[in-house]
Formats: sequence, C-alpha cells, structure tokens
Amino acid sequence: MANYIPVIGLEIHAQLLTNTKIFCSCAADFGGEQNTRCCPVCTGLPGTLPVLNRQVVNYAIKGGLALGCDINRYSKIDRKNYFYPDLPKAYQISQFDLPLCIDGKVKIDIGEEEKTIRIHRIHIEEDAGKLVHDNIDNASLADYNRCGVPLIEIVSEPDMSSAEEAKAYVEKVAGLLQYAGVSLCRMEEGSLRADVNISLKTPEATRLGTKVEIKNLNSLKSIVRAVEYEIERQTKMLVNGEEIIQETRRFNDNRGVTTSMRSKEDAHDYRYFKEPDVIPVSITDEDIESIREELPMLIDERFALYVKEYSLNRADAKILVASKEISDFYNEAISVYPNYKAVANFIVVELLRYVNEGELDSRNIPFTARAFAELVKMAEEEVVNKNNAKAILKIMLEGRMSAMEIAKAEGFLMNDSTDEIEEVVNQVTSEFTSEVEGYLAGKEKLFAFLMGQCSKRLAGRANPKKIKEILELKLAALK
Amino acid sequence: MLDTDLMTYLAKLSKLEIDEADKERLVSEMSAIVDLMDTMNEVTFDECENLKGEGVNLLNLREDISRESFDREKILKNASHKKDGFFVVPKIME
Repeated sequence: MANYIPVIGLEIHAQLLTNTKIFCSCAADFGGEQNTRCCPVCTGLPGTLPVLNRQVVNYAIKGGLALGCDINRYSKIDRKNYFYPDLPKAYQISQFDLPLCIDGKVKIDIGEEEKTIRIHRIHIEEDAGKLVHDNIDNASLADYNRCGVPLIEIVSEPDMSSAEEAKAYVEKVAGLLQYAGVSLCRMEEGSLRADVNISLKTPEATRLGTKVEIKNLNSLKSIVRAVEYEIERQTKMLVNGEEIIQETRRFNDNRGVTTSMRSKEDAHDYRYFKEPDVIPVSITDEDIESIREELPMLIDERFALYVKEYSLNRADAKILVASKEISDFYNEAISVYPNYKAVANFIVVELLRYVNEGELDSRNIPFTARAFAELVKMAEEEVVNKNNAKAILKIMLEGRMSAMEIAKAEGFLMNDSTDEIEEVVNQVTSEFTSEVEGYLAGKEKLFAFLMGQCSKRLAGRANPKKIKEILELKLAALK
Repeated sequence: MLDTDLMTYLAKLSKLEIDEADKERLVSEMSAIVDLMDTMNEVTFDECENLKGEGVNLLNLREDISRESFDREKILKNASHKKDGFFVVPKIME
C-alpha cells in the first residue's frame, strides 16, 4: 500500500470565561432555561447596537500570549454573512483579516519527542444559538441563550501528522487556556470544540493534497476517531485512484464514520466586510505588558522547574503540571514542607488516585495544601507509618479533620516511648515460648514471626526499627 | 453579478417571499448596496502601523458586568411560531 503522510490542522473554539456575552450584558455562563438569557442585541432585533465587552479582548490577548502569539496593535471586527436559523441576525460578528493574535506556537510531547505546532491566528467571535429537533411537529426549535457567548477561534498551521498529535495539541491548548484562566475548556459542556482539516500527501509531494474539513468535534475521543477514520478513508480512495473532493464532513459518533455535509460547490460565500456597528480596537504596548504580568507561570516553565530544580522524574512532573489546580496545590504544599519528591509522590500516587477514580474533583479538594503537606511530613518523619498515612488521607477527604486530629483519634500515632513496645515484646515472648526456643536454637527465620506478632499488636503505632531493636535485646537476654 | 435568479435564491435562503413584480427593482437596489460594500472592501488595512491609535482604547470598551436579560415572553413576542419557550423554525436537516 502506498505510504501517505497525513497533514492535519485544527480550529479550536474555546468559550471565554466572561460574566457577560460579547456584545451585550446578558449572562454568558453555561445552562439556563431556553431563551431566558436573551435581549434585543443578542437576538439580532433591528435598531440595536452591539457594544464590545472589554474582558473578551483582555482574555483573548491573555490566551494568545499563553499560546506564544504576537498581538496586533490594531484589530478590526467583521461581519460574516450566512443564513441559518441558529443565527438570528443572519450574520456572525467575527474577525477576518486583522485578528487580535497571530503567529503563536505550542509545544507538544509525542512519546519522548517534542514537537512545535504553530498557531496561525486567534480571533474573537460570537457563538450561535442551539437548535433542537421537534419530531412531533416536524420542525426545529431554536434556543438563543448561546447567541453572543464569546469565543476565541484558534487556528493552527497544518503541522500535525497523526491523531495522537492532534489530541496532544488540543490537550495542550486547553491546558494553557486553563492556566491563563480565560476558559474552562470543558468539552462535555461545549466550552471547547474543534474542527479538523485533513489531507494526505505522498512523501515526495511538494504540494498539499485536497483537504477535507470535519466540523464540530466535541470530545478528545471523537477527534481521535474522526482523524483515524478520515486517514483510512482518504488512503483507500487514493490507492484506488479516486479523487478527494474538497468538502465539509461531519463525524457520526455512533457509527464512527464521517459523512459529507456539503462540497465546495455549495460552499458559502460569507461576503465578509467590516462590521459597521463595532469600532476597531487599538491595543498599546502597555496593555499587552499589563496583561502579560497577570499570567501565572505556565506548563512548560513549571515542568522545567520541577525536573531541573526539584529533581522530579519527568513522568511525575508531567502529571503535576497537567492541571493548574494540582500544580498550584503542589507549589503551595512544598512552600510549607519543601520535601519535593515526597510531596510529589504522595500527590501522584495517593491523592490523584481519588481524582482518577472520580471520587475527588481536583478543583475542589476539601483541605488545604498546607494540611496536606502536614500529612506528608508526618509520614516522612515517621510520626505515623506510611499505610496509616494513606488511611488518614482517605479520612481527610471527608473534609472535617486535620491529619493530626485523625492520627490521634484513630490511634495511628507512632509511640515515642518504648514502654508499650516493651510490654508487647514481653507478652509475645512469653506467649510464643516454643517459637522463642526455636529461634534461640538457631532457627533464625522465626524472628520474622515474632516481629510480625509484635507489629500486629502495636497496629502501626510503633516504628518497626524500634520494635526490632527491643525484640533483639529481649531475645539476647533470654539466651 | 446580481440577477433575478440570484435574488430568487437569496430569498429562498432567507425565507422571504418576494413578488415577481418586485424582483427587478430589488435587484437594482441590492446591486447598489453590494457595490457600496465592494468599495468599502477596497480600503486595505495593510498600513496597520498608521492605524495603531485609530481604534477604540481598551478602557473605553464595555465593562463585563451582567444585567438582567429580557423576559422570555417579551423576547418571543414577535415570533410567528413558538413552543415551550422556543422559537419554532422550519426543520433543519443537517
């Protein structure tokens, strides 16, 4: 079979985390009963005037800076015309030739390799409404709550060549926007969606093949499946000598296939023109610098810090930086207890286990990083043993008691005084006389048995080293 | 170029009924509008540097403070077809 290289570019639509819509003061958050977050501006009634939301521009610039973009100092707003009932104005206010952000770059990890995906541009635009089908009346029902919800569209260069890379890119962009605090990027709520452009070429080809666009993918899984399906479909066509048609396709999640929506002949002529109702914006160097200062340390920088300065292994560092909440939590915990590896390990192995199992929301941890650091410290300093530290964490998730309170209440505290250990050692050696005699006669394996009996009775309250020490002394005295 | 066929097509897309008798007149009116738009589009923004300070400053944009939306009844008042708080539109196949 001929060898084709996939050439993939993505358009990501992310909802900005503003209070209000892009051109009016209606609430922009997710949910709400149908058509209850609407006004004459967002439903496109004649005579209304859109007024651009400052925070939309701020957030778009902030997101652009997080994705390594340059910011245009002069950016204009345009009208994109099309007729569709999800858009009551019959045009979408968007940006055409002078978008806010241009020329960015995002690093992704593919196995051990690092790859840079270039960002072509980022522009602001308004979302459209939602249509639901009404089978009873054989009609469609329109809900305009989402009309005017602010989006940024992030257009990549066609720099990806596999489904895996496309997935890694979407995850990285989403992660950076979350770090910047400009979008929740929750695909399941529709605050992040992607269109994929994909074509195939032979290794020796200098020109790109005919591209196909797959619209509106709303989960990482469907991005991966759609790309894989489309690579296979186009490969088969090329092998059979068929011609790829430039068209827009949709991915059917149930059947796992893409189907044609419209070909280039029916493609829209959007007749973009400058939006006369909205004045272009001027952005000064000072604006950009003050927005840049608001950005926290981002993913790549934190990763480098963790690996180089804190000597964490790459796998753990990558897990920690994957979510800003967890990375912030880690940073705060080590500011209290700077045992970098122990804190990282306890987060990655223990805390995130609850997150991965769906028992804990990483955005909503019921105790502070300081309280968590205290627990790690107790385990490291053998105030409690490691197993009991895990048990304490489980109880801490109920959100009521500190690690120390739990350790006291549950009797997990290691006993500093040797009295209890000595008492238990005396009990055990007088109860298991035959084992003691056996040991003294040279069966050294029996030491482990006696040790086990002592540990069991002390139920993790004593340091095993100490138990061993006292038991050895006792047995030596019995010789 | 705009002609009566394209006018018929646009009318269909935008769900408007247009009398045959009006078409010629509408074509000429709309041609004038499209010409005006084309003239506007001829203005290029390549000289971006010169325009730097011409737009509105960030400080003068709207503050992100939400206000109450309209009552749904009011929003739906002008709709010819409505149901359960939705606008009813012709069935969309896509």
